Amino acid sequence: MIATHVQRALAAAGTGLCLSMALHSPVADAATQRTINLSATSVCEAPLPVFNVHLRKRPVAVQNESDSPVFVTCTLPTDNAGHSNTGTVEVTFASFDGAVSTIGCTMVSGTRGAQVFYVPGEVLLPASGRVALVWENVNKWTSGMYAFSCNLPPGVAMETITYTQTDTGGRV
Amino acid sequence: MNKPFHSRTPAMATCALALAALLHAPDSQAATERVQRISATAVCEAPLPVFDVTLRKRPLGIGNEGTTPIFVSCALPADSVAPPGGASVSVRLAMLSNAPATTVNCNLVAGTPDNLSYTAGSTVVPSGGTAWLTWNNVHKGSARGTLNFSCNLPPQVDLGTIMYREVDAGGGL
Repeated sequence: MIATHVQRALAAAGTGLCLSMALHSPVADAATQRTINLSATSVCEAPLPVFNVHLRKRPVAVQNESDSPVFVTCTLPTDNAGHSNTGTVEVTFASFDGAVSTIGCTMVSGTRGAQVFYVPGEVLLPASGRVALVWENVNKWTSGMYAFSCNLPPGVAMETITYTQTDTGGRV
Repeated sequence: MNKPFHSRTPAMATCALALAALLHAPDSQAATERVQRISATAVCEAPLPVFDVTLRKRPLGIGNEGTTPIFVSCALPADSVAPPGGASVSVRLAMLSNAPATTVNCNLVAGTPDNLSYTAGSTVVPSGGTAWLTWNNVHKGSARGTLNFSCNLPPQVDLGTIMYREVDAGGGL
């Protein structure tokens, strides 16, 4: 008799558990962090066509094939749900002419007309090497976005851009 | 004194239900909508290079520094999960100088190449000021449809932030 009641209790608990799991299954795509990788080719441009002449756009890189530096501007699709100051943006550069280069960039983030932040960054690219420039805790202000520009030296390619957005509410 | 088992059964089930609900609570706004912002610089182009000559691309916008209007086409990455209908697209326009107020005419082009819909829109950009142009309830035709628009950008006007919103009641975004 007692065993029967115990079995019923367990069965009821199990049924309740299964039912609630089915009704409350988490959304598969919900995420607290989203990292996107893309090629500079898809989101970067020279300011004016005259500067584009020696920028070769390959599937995986934008490279400066001239003998003088070229400014390159890049902007990233930014999710409104991402927290305002937890973003990370990483840009990879590669040397293809065997020279050492210093690359200077500026992160431009925020909301135009409200608050825009300018954060410089610099990285030393070894000869025939590869290096990444990283901005952490990027502040995009309220519902802002991420963008940056780099003064790309001759013989240098801008390759993959990797950026991460976070939201503890799981909406990114 | 002790309660019979059959009277405890509902309590145990309720407890299990509460525990499971707590452990499996869905994210409150999990992906039923996605709002993205992007600068025109990343997704907009003049139709031909010859028209690009006086379009200056900066991190937060594209400005027409010429003396004649230039058509600019913009294309936005659209999520296949979002069902057609319910999207919105907004674009921020700004006057680069104190030139007189001017009307900017744009055209939203949504859908697939074999099934496109066109929705005209216009707004007045005040001298030295800004204006937003918004299309609501944009219908992209099918799951494979895309969201695009073109604007005839007057001189001294900047096409800056583009904000677009996709929705999916199923929470797949």
